[in-house]
Amino acid sequence: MIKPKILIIDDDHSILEVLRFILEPEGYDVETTPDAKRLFARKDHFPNLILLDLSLLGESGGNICRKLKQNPKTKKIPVVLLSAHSPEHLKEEARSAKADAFLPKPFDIEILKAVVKKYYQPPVLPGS
Amino acid sequence: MPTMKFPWQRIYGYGFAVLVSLMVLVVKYLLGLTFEAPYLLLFVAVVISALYGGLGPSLLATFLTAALVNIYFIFPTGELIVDRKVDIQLVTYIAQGLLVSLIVEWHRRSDRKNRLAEKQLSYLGAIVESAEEAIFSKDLNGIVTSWNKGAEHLYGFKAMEIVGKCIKVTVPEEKIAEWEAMMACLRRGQRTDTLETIRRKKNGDLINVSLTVSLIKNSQGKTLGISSIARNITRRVELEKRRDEFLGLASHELKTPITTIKAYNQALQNFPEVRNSQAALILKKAEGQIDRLTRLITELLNVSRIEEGKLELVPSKFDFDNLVRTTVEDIQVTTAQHKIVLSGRTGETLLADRERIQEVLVNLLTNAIKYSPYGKNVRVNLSAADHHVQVNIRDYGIGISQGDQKKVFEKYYRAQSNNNPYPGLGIGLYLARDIINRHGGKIGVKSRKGLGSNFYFSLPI
Repeated sequence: MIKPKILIIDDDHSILEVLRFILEPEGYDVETTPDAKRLFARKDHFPNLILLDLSLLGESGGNICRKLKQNPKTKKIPVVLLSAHSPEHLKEEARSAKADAFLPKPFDIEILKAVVKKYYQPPVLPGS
Repeated sequence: MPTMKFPWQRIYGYGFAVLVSLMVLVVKYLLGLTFEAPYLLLFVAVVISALYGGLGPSLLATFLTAALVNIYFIFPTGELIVDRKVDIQLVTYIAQGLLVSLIVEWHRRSDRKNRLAEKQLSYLGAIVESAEEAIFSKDLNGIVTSWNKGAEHLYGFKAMEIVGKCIKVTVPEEKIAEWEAMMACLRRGQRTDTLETIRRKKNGDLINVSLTVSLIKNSQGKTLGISSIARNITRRVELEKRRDEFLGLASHELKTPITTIKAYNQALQNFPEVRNSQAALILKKAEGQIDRLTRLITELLNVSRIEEGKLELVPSKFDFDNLVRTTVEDIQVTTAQHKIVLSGRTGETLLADRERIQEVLVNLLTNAIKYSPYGKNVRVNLSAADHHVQVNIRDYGIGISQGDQKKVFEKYYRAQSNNNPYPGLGIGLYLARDIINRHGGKIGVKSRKGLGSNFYFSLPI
C-alpha cells in the first residue's frame, strides 16, 4: 500500500520534528524540508498534502502557495498554511494565496490531525 | 505687557505742572505784562503738563494757573477772591483746560492700549516666526496667505515661493481626497480633529505630519481664513513601526517553541502508558500553563495594536450561549478549587468577533478565579433584554474598593495585595474594555472590598 505523502515546509527544525513525530504514527509518509526549492525542481511524485509555514527564510510561504496554485501541475495539491503570526494575518494571507486551509500556531494536535485527515488527497494508484 | 509706572514718575509730572504754572509769575514780573492774562501761554502749559504727566498734573496745572491768574491779573490783584463777579475769560480758560486734559488723557490711554496690542502682536509674530512647528494660514480655497520659518523648514518651500499658491502642492496624490474632505468640513464652519497624515516636501520626500487646522475668525465671528500647525512626526511613526515589527517578531519567535512544547505535551498525553496515570494529570496542568503563556503573548501584541487603532475585528455569526458554555468548560479545567456555575440563557446568535469575545470571557473568568483565592464558586449568569445579551461573572473574592473600580480598566493597572501587585501584565481588562466598546457594548463592575466582584458586559444583538 502506498502511504499518503505529506510534505512539510518550515524553517524551524523543531517544528518539522514534532510534526513528523505526530503524523507518522497516524500512518502518513512525512517528508520535511526547510525550503521549497526541491518541490519546484520536481517533475512528478508530488505530495498529497503540503503543510506550509508562512514565514520562511527565503521565499515566503504565501508566495510559494500562490505559485503552487497557479501551476496546473500542482494546483490540485491541498495546501494548509501554518503561522505563529497573528491569526488575522494568517487568515488574510491564506485567502489571498488561495490556500485550502490555515492553522495558527500553537495548535491543538487533535485539530491538526483532523485538518490533515480532511485535506490530504488519497494517492492515485498506478493503473487505476 | 502693561508698563510699570513708578511713583517718582508721577511726582515728576506734578512737579512739572507746578513749574509751568509758575510761568504766570514769570510773565508778570520778568516780562512785566500786567493787564492781559497770558491765557494762550498758560493753555500751552496745561497741554504740556497733560502730555508729560497725564490727567492729574494737567488738572493741577489748570487750577493752579487759574488761581494764579485770579490772584495776580484780575483786579484787585494780590489776593484770591472766590466770590467776586465771575470772570468769563477765566471760566472759559478752566473749561478749556479741563477739556484738553480729558482729551489728552483719553488719547494717552488709547495710545497705550495700541502700543500694548502692537507689542503683543510683535511678540506673537516672533513666537510664530521662531516656532519649530510649521505655522501658516490659508484662505478657504487653500491659497496660502502666510508661511513661517518652521513651514519653510518642514515643507522646503520658501514663503515667497508658496504664498499666493494653493497648499495642495504639498498634498500627495493618495491624500488628496482626505484633504478635500477636510477643506469641505472647514468651509461648512466645522471643527476638524488633529490629523496624522502624509505630506510631500518640495524635493518630493514624503513626511509624516500631525496637522492641527482651525478657522481664524475676527471678533464679529466672520471667518478670515484657516490656520494650520504642522509637526513632523516621521521619526515617531518610524519608531512605532519598528516597535510593531519587533513585537510581531518577538511574538512569532515566542510562539514557535510553544507550538513544539504544546504538541509534544499533547502527544505524550496520548501515550497508552501515560493516558490513565498521574502523569496525564501533570501533563494536563502543564498544558494549561502553555495556553496561559500563549494568551499573554497574544495580549502583549494586542496592546500595541489597540494603541494604533489596528486591532481588527473579524465578525462572524455564532451561538452566544454555546461560546460561553465552552469557555466556562475550558476554564473549569484550570481550577480544582472553584466550581464555575453557569445559569440562564440568551438563545441568541451574535454577529461579532467570536475569538475576541472569547478572550474577554477568558479574561473575566481567570480574573474571577485569580482574585478569589479562598472562594469556592464563580457564578456566570446569562440574560437577554432590550436587544442586548448580558453576562455577569460573580466571584466571592477580595473585591475592589470604590476608588479602584474606575482604575481596573486602565492600562497597566494591577490589583495590590499588601502593597504587592498580583501577578499579571495589567492589560487584560484594558483589552476587554476596548473589545467590548468596539462591539458597541458596555462593560463594568460592581464590587465591595472584601465581598467579591461582579463583572458584567453586554453586547448588542
